[in-house]
Amino acid sequence: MTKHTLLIRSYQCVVALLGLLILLFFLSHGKDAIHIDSSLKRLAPEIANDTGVQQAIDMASSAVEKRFTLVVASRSREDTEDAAYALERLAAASETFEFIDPLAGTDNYLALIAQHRFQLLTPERSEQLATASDAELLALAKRRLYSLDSSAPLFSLWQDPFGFVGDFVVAGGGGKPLDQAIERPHGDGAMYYLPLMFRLRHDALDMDTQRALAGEIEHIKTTVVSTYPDVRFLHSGVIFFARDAAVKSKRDISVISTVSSLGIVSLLLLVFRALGPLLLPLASIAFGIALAFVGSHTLFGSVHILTIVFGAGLIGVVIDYALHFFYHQGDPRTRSNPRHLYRALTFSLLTSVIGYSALAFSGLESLQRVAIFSVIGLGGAWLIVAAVGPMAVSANFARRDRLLKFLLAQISRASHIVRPQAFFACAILILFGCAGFFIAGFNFSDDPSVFFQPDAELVAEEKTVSRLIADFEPGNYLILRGKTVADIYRLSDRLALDEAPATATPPLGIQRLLPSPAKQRYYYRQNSRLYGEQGLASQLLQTMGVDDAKRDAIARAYAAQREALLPVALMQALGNNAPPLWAELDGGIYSFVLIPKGFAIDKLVDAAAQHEDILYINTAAMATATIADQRRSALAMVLTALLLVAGLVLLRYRRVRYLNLVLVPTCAIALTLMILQMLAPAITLFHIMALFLVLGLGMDYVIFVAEIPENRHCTLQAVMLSAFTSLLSFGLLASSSLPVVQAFGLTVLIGNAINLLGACILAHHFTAINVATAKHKQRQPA
Amino acid sequence: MLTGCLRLRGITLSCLAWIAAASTASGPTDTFDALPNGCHLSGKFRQSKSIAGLHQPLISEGEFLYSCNAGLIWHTRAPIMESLIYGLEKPPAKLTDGVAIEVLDNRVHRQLGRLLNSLIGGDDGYLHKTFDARKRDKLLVLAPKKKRMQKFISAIDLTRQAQEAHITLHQAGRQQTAIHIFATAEHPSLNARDCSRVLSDQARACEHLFR
Repeated sequence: MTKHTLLIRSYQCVVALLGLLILLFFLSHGKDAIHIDSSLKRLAPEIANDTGVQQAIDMASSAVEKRFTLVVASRSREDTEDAAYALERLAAASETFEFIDPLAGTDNYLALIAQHRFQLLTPERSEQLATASDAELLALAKRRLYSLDSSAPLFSLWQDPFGFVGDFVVAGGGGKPLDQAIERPHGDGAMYYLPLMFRLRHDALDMDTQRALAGEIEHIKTTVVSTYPDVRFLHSGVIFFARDAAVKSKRDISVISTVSSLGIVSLLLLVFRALGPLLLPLASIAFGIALAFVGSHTLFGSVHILTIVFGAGLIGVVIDYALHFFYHQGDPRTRSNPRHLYRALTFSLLTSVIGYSALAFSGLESLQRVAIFSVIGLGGAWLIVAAVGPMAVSANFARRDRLLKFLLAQISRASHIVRPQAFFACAILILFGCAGFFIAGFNFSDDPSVFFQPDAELVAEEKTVSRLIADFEPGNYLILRGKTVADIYRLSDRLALDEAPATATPPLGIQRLLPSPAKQRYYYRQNSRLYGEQGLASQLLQTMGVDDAKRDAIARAYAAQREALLPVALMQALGNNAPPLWAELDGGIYSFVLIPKGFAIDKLVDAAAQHEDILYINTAAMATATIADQRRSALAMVLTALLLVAGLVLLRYRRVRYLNLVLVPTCAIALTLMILQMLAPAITLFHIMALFLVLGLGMDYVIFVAEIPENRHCTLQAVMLSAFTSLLSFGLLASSSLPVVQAFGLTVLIGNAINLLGACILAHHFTAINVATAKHKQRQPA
Repeated sequence: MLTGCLRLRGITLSCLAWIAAASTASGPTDTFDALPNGCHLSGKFRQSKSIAGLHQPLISEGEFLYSCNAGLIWHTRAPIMESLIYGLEKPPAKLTDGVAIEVLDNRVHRQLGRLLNSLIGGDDGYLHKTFDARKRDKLLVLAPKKKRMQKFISAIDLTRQAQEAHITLHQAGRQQTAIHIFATAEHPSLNARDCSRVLSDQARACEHLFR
């Protein structure tokens, strides 16, 4: 047994083992346990450098993601309110989501406030306690007791005889009423809107949850509309956008993978006119993609939807090995010495792996997953070709590739016109042209909206709902960072959050819901005037005929309860009824401050700039800056990858003229950038990321040209066929409705077409050089 | 977040006003169809608030005035002096010293004002929607349909005889507020001057309501 045969046997063992693992994976997981992740959030870069801050942001985002709003709207107030009530009752039966009842958490909240009632006052009541006389305070309490306005007090007479704790709750409460329709002018009349808030029981970004929610909501809406035909519904919430993206992605996957597979099979059938030659390419696709899927799922616990979309595009790449193998293995010269072919296949895999691996440095989790998926997929496809190829391509199948040959002849004829000098001049011109574009400034866009293009109707609904119910700037807030609760309140005082103009709503931070522990201690001392021994509460109750024992009990309760209420306990009690304002993570405290719409934020931004623990978060601006950083570093990485590949080529061939190989993808990249500048509205991070694939594919082609010089014509046919398959699959990606995928597809489509052309011209020059070298050798004396 | 709790305070007032309005109707009311046609009303009230643990109820009395064009004034004369003003087109307000108007700058109160005025204005659709009514002899019992209202008011008892009406609110924490409305009168129209005449020494409240 030769060394080569032994190697193939070992490949076969590995393939058998991996095949078994793939089988076991699908058998053990079953259909339901395979998790497809459709979270668009994972596409977006992290916006904070600090891990704790990012964790706090993620925690708050997760809470927000789980919420959604349905707004019932009609031209009749009655219909709107009745339909909303009907919707609320129907939603009570849902297992996917729950109605956020503003009163649901009231009991816990009020019990907690009652427990700390001696520490809690509004600033106005504190001022009153400091300045008003005993008689004035007693008169105030009496008025409150008799007034109709206080017929349903929040706390009992024994807990809050002066009503000050009730005032504290009311002052901190705020919020818009949710069971009264909001009236807005509409045409000649008015439109009535009633927003209902809901909370998902599961992850909003989970596709099963999205599917279940969509079904349930549709059913509920249909039921409501059957009784109230004039009402319509507005939707607001991350889940609706996630669902929209997931549906679009799924549709893309389905269309792209089906058309891509059919197209490739048709192309191969057209060329080979037999089913036999399809076996190896199809086996390499199936094995490569299955191995990539299992590998990704095992590593990450799920496979991202974007990864699958790219997986469909990967079909066009993994087929290369099989086609080259088929073309060359069918050739008697290669069959007698297959080591050339295996070396070319390995070198090709290596350069592709380098190209795809660069994606892993993007800093975006989704692209890192794509990189790993692609590398595993390429490895799997390569393995199956290397292991099964010699068995699968045992006979020399007849190729009826007249079309390919015709095209190749035309390109060769054109290549003859391009002399080597002209080729280099052209390459230099392209590189200088690209440099000129860089100097003039490419039209780059780092807008985060590039990540997805939401449905216009959903965006319009979101805006309408935001105008109706959202009080705060979306994506604009402050984070106060500290080690202790006192640190956070010190920062809050520094910002003077409560000193907003009387006409403006102050920012909403923990300071508006709860006084600082120090202030609570002060309020406690102030309350001794009311609740201490023989305090005013005792006097008030005495006038109402309450006996000594009951009055003493109040004084005893006051003496016993000295603990300040802490933000974490308050936020826990408020639960869904308050925005997530407080996060305690790994010994650090992060407090969010929400900025009201229209609030002049300049002072806050200045304060944030002057203090390292006050962070102004403008998610859109930060995401733009992060994407710009990543785009710049991606461009640098493309250059680095080119240099690495050039180094690898030098190492392999040990001749400078072989650097021509790298010139093909380099020119393809440069020319692609210039064409994109003219074709695409703007060049984005994802166009740049796709250049790695242009590099990988380009190197793939030229390596075979260089590695198997004996049968260059055969090589070019294989290159052309594999290029057509990848142009087909990436061309389909270019038609995707997802901007990210579209950018990838378009870039690779353009770049790879140039790669193909470059590889053909280069093949002609290599042949010319080889012929010249051979003649030169012949002229040499023996 | 606690807007719901606070909103319930206004229910008391709403029901009182409804009763007052209903009392001027021509016959006994056992359904919501008998809401008044009258647009301008006034009368007196006596309120008795029973609080768990207190031996004696807290008793107060005063007058009210309603205009379908402007809104309602609920004026407590003794033992405290206070006027609550629920205008149709303006935020609710309170007058405690007869001069200074304190705007109740709370969305809840604004919603309550709208609720109250639609009740008195004969918006029987609202009552049908909000309460289940059942008759027990001469007593009409209103039970809130919505859970959030039930949390604070378990039931409202209504009885009416000629120009008088009784309303009892059964509230959380074993508290009851019983209100006796009497000496009701219907007016052909009401403006600030008429209001000041009906509610003597409440010129400021009248001016605020009818301005």
